[in-house]
Amino acid sequence: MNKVIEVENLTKRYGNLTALNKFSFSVKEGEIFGLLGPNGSGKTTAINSILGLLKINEGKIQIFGKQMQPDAYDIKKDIGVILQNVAVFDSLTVYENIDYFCGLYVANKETRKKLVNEAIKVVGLEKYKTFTPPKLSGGLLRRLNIACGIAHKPKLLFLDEPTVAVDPQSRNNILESIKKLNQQGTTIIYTTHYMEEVEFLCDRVLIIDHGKSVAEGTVEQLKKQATIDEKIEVEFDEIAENKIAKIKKLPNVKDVLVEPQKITIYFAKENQNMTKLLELLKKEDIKANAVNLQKPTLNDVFLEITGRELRD
Amino acid sequence: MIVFKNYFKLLRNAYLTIFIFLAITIFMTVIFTMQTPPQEEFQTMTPIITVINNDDGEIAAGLVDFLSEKAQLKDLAEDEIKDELFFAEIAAAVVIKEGFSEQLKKGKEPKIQIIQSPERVSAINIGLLVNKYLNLASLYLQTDLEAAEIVALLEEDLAEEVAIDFQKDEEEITALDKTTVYFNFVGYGLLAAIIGSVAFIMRSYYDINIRMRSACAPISRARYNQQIIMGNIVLATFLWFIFILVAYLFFGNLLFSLNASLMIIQAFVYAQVALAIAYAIGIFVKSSEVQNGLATVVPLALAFLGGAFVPQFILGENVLRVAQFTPLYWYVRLNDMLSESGINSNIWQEFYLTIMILLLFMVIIYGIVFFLQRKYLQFIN
Amino acid sequence: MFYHVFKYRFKRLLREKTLLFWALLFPCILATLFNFAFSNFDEMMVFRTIRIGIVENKEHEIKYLLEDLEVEEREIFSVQYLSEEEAEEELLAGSISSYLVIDEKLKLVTDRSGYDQTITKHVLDNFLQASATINNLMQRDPQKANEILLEGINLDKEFVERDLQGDNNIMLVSFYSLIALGAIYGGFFGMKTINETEGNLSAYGIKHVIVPFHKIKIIFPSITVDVFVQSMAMILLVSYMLLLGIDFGDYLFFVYLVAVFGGVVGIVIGALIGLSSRLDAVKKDNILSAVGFMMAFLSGMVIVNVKHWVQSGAPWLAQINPANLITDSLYALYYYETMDRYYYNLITMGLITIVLLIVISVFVRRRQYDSV
Repeated sequence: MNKVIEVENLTKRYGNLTALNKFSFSVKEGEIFGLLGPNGSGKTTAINSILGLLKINEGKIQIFGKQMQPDAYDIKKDIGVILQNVAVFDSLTVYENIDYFCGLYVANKETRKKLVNEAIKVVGLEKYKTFTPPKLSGGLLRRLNIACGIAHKPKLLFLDEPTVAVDPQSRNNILESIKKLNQQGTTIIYTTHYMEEVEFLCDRVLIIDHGKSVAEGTVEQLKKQATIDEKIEVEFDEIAENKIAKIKKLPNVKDVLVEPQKITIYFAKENQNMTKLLELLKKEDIKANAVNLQKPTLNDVFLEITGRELRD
Repeated sequence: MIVFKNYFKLLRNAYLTIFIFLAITIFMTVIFTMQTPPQEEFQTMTPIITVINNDDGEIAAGLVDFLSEKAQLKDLAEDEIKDELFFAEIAAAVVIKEGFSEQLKKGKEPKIQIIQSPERVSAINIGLLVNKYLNLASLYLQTDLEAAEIVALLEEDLAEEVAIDFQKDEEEITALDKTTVYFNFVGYGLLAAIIGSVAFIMRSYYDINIRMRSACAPISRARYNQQIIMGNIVLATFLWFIFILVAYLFFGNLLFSLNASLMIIQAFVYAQVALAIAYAIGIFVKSSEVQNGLATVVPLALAFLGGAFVPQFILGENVLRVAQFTPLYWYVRLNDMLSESGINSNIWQEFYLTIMILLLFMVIIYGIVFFLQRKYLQFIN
Repeated sequence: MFYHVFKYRFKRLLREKTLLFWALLFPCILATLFNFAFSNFDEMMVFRTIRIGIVENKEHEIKYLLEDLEVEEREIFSVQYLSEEEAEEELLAGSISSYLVIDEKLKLVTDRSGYDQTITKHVLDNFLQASATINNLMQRDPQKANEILLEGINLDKEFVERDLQGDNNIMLVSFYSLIALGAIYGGFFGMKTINETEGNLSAYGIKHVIVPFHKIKIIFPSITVDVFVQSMAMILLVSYMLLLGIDFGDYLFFVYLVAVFGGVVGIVIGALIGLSSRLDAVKKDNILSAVGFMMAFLSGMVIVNVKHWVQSGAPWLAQINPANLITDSLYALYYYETMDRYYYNLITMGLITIVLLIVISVFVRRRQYDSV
């Protein structure tokens, strides 16, 4: 599979501060690539560098197999960008906004008209074609922002936190649209703080911190990297003391927290912990009301690797 | 008190804007004050003129001599006149045609040409002097006296002056006059500085998101406004103080004559009125561009109409009638009175009256703002 | 591409009210204001009644003169007869501007030399001087003197022919300066364009920089819109002033020309200020407002004399201040018959514009930034 983006040893310094430190990664054609990192990790700097906006100190950036430069217009025509800051014109309508930005890429009026209407449909703004941004809610604005970035059907799309402060309906719409775009062949670089989105969308994920890549792989691979425990909660009306002792003796049990009507069992990561517990409960005739399994989440992974929460 | 304290944090952010407004208005104030001529016992500014004398008669020569005492004569060729007038290097050009004295002797009324650019008011005086000289000369010319003798006599006559008894100390008067000019201009400067600074800060406080957020905070709207007003008052007082400081740098201790002290006090009250106006603008105007516009237009408008730039009696009745509805008119009026009179019961009366009127303006403006604020804010869900 | 960018920017500008306010409404409001405030200005000294006192220790004919003197059927003096103590009091209180003590000699007592006192002194001086002349006449040629007295002394002969260069409007320079102000405030358009096309200034800038062509293809049409809209605004402003009755002389075409050109200079100035990445948008707005106002002030907008002081005291400043160049051009157009000075100013403005454009293009050419 082709590598759409290849970044090698990207280094960018702002005075004494090194924002990107020999940062390397690559993105394959047709994948949705998640770029995660706490605030100040270098995410945005990386994206801006890749787009050719920033002067870099060291490193090689290739897009579509060609060296990326500010005047690489043949590369740029296939790139779309949706920035975190909504940049649409308040005095133009939804349709006009999309038409304007699309028109910077597509000269032909007929083609463009089709593309703009398609984009409006994709983000679900048909009812708002003649509205101006001040009249739109936050979620709708972001949808508009996205439409402006995808209208010209770019092969490579950058999305920087597109769902911040967005209502659930819009969020849903956005995520679905992105999936659909990807299915149509668009390669997507996606940054976000929302773990659920990463799990839903991303084929591969890279965690960046202090300007360096600290973990890379599929979501499953990353989760496996976590060394933290599995947690199973059991809720019941009452349980005998000796039964608790038996639970403690299960294999892989690291610790048991006993509370009235609930015990939390910490297992070392291993498959089949749940099965073994359920067998024990049945055997000992422990009447459980609820059994909750919490596998380590991406947030846990993130926390472990970077020392900070995803949603910082 | 947190809103109040926060005010000063916002202030730190705004200091560039405030500095710009202050610097400009002080700069303008200084220039304006400097242009006032010193009042040295009727020594009016001697304008610079040029005289082209194409006549060889003695009367004409006598006229030129006379003019040289009243104005500064500059030697120019006739084709240089137009340029010199354009650049206001000279106030006027006086041209005496050939044969002038002859005509005069015959009892005719030959004309002297005075060329002036439209805006040079000081040239008017030259015309008056020329007419005076020639009218008196005409009287003499009706007799048989020789031209040379007439010129000598005229010199004598025109040296006559009424004796002047100057009651006040020259320095004091000049200072008082300049102080008046300064404080009148401060009517503009203070207004501009206050509107610019206060409206700017208030925009942060009354931005709708912040307003909504603070509507949820455990502080009543009244107290919120109160504290902001307190912050405003401190700022306005600070700006007033800066202007007084600059005045002190200019006038030194002469600033503390009784009359000038009253001007200082009035300026303080006026600052609070200016604050009310700024507050109104800050509350009701959202966009920074419109605010900027108002911060320029409103002070200029009030200043022109109220007589801060041009003396009130020149403005004309229509203008003054409109101006009476603005605080600046009353402010300038009192300043002018203070500059002309000594301290007596009449002046005290005027002083209190004006202060009352200014405070009334302030109350009315705040009143309107609060009333509208309550109505307006109800529309925010 | 040009048409596409042009069309949308034009639509936007027309719909965005605040920008239009600055460009057009604001100078018009000031023009109306000036017109109203100056409506009473006359070439002659404006008269108000001068309150004086007379301490009559002797009979003297001066008092009749003072009582009767009028100009255009308005009495110049309002006379009060007082004792010496009363007069002193009244003077102190400010209810009279001066008082005349009629004794062996005439003495004018006053405490300042303002308008009123100066006029009073001049009237008295004129009287004394004329009296001296009459006396001399009596001595040298009594017969003739009597003849003259019988006929009535006429001292009102007019020997002066005023040649006013142009019409009577003392405040023309103020209005011309106002046009300069309007022109410089075209800078807001230029600032906005730069803000939207530089990657380190706004998200709009970023969007305009990652396009698959050189951003000059966005800047050029945008500036064209700016020039077009600002030119319209300037034409409207000049036309409005003509409507108000401001005299620009006979060469209206050139008036419009310099106004429009001045607008272009303003746009370029605004663009230059807009380039700074250290200041936020609001601060840049304020700076342009302040700079524009200062430039106009120094070209005579508020106090006409300032223009002349700058010209004599700091001529280099007068040469490079765009507002002054505009004001000066308009005044030259009005005042001179030849176009020399006008063209000279126009060329200077052109040079300034070119220099500024060079500076701007150095920054605008870059396509990568140190930080965005």
